[in-house]
Amino acid sequence: METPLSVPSPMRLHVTDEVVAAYGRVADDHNPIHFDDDAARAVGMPGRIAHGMISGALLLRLLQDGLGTDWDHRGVVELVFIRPLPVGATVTAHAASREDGRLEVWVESDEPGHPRIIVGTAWLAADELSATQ
Amino acid sequence: MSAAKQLTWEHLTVGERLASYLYEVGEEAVAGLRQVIGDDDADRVPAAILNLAMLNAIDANYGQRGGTVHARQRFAMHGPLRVGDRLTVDGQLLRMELKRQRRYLVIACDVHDQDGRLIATGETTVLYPGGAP
Repeated sequence: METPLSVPSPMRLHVTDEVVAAYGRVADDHNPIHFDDDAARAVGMPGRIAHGMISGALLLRLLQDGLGTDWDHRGVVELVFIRPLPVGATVTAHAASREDGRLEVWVESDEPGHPRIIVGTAWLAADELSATQ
Repeated sequence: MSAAKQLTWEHLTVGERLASYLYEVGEEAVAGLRQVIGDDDADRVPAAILNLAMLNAIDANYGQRGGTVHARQRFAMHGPLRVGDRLTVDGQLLRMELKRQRRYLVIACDVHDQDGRLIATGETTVLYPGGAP
């Protein structure tokens, strides 16, 4: 087993309309569920929701900050997007060391109950090539 | 950008290759993504830009509404990114899944830079954009 990984956390982001608009431009993702309450309600959402990868990008930043160049060469992460995030919420990205040396990672919302919206695992592959395995 | 396929669940084939997708790591996109996640480290490219390249490749091949709903993501890094890199994303449809009345596509992607260097590999699960069965 490798030395358990550890990265400083948490890291917060207020997901405002401006953040969603900026991400939409960067990603060229203009799906109306992110910008229009009526369009979001039409597909069963309570209102407009943020792009999942805004929270995902925050989590990747946490890992990139904490693991540095090791991350760039052999970082691996597995994420499950389990819940949509309403625009206007604040998210917090976390990483906690596990007994097997990997990191439990998650992003939670400041909505009532602080639900997790992304959960996953991150680690460093033993070498660069094995990151494909 | 390649034209999106005429997307019909019955006409998709596990194992089929996606058309190669070209993505340039532009200064504007990098600055925009840094702004979104509050990353002020000017010496690196946010790792999430790779995810954008993969999602854009998937959307270019299978998207219908200008956006892709993300369900799961596995992501392995093999080398650092630089502003100005010209990436090629090659993908393959690995699986088609039906879970709880929702259809999903599971797509593997390899990302190489302009020198043929492997930068990242990924496995992305997206909600089939053609709707429920």
